[in-house]
Amino acid sequence: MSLDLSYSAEQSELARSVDGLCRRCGAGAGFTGTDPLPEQYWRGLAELGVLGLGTAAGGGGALEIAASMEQLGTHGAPGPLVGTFVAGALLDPAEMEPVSEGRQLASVGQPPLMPWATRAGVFVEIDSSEAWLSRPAGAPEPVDTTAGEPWGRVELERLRPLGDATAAVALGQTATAAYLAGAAQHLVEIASQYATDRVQFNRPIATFQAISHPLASCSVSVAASRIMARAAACALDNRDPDAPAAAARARLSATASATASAYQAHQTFGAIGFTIEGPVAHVSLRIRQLSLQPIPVASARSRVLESLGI
Amino acid sequence: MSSDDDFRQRVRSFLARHGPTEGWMRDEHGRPPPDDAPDEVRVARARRCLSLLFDAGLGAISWPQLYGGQGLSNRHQVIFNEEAAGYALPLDMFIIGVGMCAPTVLAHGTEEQRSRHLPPLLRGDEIWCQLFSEPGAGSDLAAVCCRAEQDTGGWVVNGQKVWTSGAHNAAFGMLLARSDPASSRHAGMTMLIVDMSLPGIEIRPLRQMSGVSRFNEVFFDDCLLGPDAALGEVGQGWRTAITTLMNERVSIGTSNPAGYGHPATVLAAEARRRGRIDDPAIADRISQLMIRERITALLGKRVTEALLAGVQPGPEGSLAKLSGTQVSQASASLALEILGSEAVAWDAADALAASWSTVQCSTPGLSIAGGTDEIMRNLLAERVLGLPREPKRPSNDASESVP
Repeated sequence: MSLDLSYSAEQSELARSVDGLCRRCGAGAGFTGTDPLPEQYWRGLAELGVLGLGTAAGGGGALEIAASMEQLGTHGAPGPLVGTFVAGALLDPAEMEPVSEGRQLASVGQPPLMPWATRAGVFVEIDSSEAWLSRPAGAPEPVDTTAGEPWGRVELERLRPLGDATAAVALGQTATAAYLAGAAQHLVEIASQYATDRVQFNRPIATFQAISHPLASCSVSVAASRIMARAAACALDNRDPDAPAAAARARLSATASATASAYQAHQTFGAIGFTIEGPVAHVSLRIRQLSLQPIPVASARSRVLESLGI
Repeated sequence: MSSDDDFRQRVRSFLARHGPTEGWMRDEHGRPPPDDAPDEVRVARARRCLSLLFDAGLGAISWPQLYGGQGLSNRHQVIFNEEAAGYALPLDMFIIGVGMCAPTVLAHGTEEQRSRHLPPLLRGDEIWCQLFSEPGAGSDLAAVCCRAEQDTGGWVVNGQKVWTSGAHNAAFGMLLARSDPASSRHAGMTMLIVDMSLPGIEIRPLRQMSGVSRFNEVFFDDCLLGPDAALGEVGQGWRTAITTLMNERVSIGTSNPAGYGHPATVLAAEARRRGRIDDPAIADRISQLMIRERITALLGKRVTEALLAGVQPGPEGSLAKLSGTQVSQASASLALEILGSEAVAWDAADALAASWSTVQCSTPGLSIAGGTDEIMRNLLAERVLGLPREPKRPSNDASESVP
């Protein structure tokens, strides 16, 4: 079977629109300032239809989600993105509508620690195979987070079961993988540019193989994880029985390559990449935070083992 | 009982007496108390610790009495370090001054400079910083271009330094500047002692991604230094700088690795608490980490023993630094695996829970600060293994050597 992993014209057009929106809203301190979710940006995503992708009302599928997430990752864009797509795959159209329209945020995870809990209007409890529409049993207790996202600790009361969550989890893993692949690709690109511009010992540091080879290795693993994210999206859209395992593989691959790329970007930029003002820190912090939620890495690993019959 | 045992006993009773009341205790997993207080508080706490040490005859142990030290041997200092490792003495902000600047002043300073600067430096009354890196001179320190012009009244300094840890708390700085504008690379530099309160110095803090501001940009605009500011010979600043850098790597490499990442014992306890210890992949990584911690400690010990034998710090400091960095990174990445999202979210009031994220955000800096991993590997390849240098491009100065 041949597998075409390039995006269609429409998917590429969607990706370009998402890129344009991020350029407008993320400029300056847009994605790095004190506001964890600039309103204009989140409304823009809703208007582009991104927040409703994968729902019956919104149309589009996993490939559209992957195409959008690669762009969002490139910009280190904020928001409960993965949770939104997971919720879209589980909720009834009426329940999902305020989320797709950007009027409410979805908090999806394993209580008590819930992403975006202090700002969310819709709560979904999820484990690797089941999900429940839930509501907070009290006011979420705000917690501090690495990337400055407003998470909270809260007990949830289950309102109704949402049934088998396997496909929704796979979609979430795929979306996470695409975002991380985009973020990692961006870091490798800016690090390569910096290594070309930065002169030490009378030569661009990129001419030292100690600098260029690790970046080359990162670009290989980033390319691999991008392809795996797209392949998982394809499998999901084609209802391929291997889709959950493909999504889990993509997630694991992307987590590893994004973490390695963030490390190498820091190493290439030196101290400037370590400052809040520099170009690396906010993407690197986002990678750390996003690589872990809302679906644990460990559940991706078990899924891959299951697909091997282990 | 030998005098060593007496001394060890003195250290023990000092630590046992003051540790609990002064907040120097580690928790049951060996973690230090949170270090998130405002700078004034941190400075006051650090000074109080040093002054208690001096009151007990335990400050500047191996330094000559002439300069305010105790006049004891390096072996006594090692005994002290062994005992103090079980506590969390808040002495971090003196590492640069006492660990790097003081040995440089002792090695290259005039008698006047030594007696003026060493006593308050060692007592912590005057904190020091190290003004080396510049925007265009990072790994390539010999590219320094901050200008120091000698005139009849002394020195006039113009230029910029960056990544200067603790400059905002410092009374004095050790400035590597270009004193001969016609020179290039390693020739024509001079080390100068700078009073940081002088006019013509502007300090701008840089915020790190872990949220704290511990390093700075420092701008010099026609800053006037006295004629006696040069530390070591005029034009020989590179030689002076090498003394500092060697001591820097030793300071970093021999400090307690638990100070940077969470030690294997803490990760094992977390894995047990979260039901992850039965995962063989996790158990394997914890034991690998423990082995590497032990190796790093032994490497540090080897450096210490060489120092005790009177050998000047050499490239083995780089080995210890590189090893310590790798341990910290392995620990940080394993912590993410064990804690999952709990590693990136914490209750604001729970400073120990916050330490998981702080470590995540701090470890990338370890392979950059105090000489990057790449520079450490160059040193090991060239000075320890005797491998040939990387081929030069024709335009390069033939006398160049990596620090």
